[in-house]
Amino acid sequence: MTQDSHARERLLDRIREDRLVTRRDYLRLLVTVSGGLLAGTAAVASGIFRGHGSGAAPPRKVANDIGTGESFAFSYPGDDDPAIGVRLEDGSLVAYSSVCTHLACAVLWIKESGDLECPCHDGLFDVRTGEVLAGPPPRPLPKIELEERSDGIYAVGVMT
Amino acid sequence: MKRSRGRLDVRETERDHPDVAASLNARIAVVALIIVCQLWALTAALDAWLGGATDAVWWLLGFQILAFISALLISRASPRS
Repeated sequence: MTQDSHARERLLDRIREDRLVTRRDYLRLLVTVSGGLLAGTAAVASGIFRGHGSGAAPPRKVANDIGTGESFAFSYPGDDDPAIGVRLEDGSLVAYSSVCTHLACAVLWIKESGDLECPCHDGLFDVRTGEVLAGPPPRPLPKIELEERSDGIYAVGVMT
Repeated sequence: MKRSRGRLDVRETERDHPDVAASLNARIAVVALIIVCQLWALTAALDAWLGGATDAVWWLLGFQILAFISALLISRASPRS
């Protein structure tokens, strides 16, 4: 047998070995994937994925005072949970997580239009309710409860 | 070329039985369909969790458990049954 025929035979062997991934192997692989998806859903249900602006925290002073139509940025409930507060024209205070529910861009207060806007994909949120007005965000912004006290404005909780 | 009897021989026996191959094909198709449903359930569960709908997450987890058990049973079924 020549060297070429040896090489050819080795190649054919390798091709035959590749066939060793049989239908049964595919079936086992699919069942493993199925188990992985089950594990993933169990992980979601166990709460390892924490949404921005969710959770609880003690009241925290977030601003001294704010003028009508102005906004201020703060963090609540955690230090890694950016939020935005706005004093509306009627004098009321509202605050939301400023992480867009679409792809986590920063949500901004647009005074001229009176809406909260995510500039990444033109998502619009109602400043009074946090509901989605336009764009791709799938969920409203988590609302943060504010309280005006004698010494300033406090964030006191997150409404789910 | 003569081959020793081993894994390859056993697997090639499967190829000689079209009924076994057909059964395996069908089971692969069904399990693949279950996995597509599980993918949907996982994304729906994550969306529900982030939206605060925890009840829906538990229902979807139940669906995932049933789907996995179904896939396991289908994969374990005798090819000649």
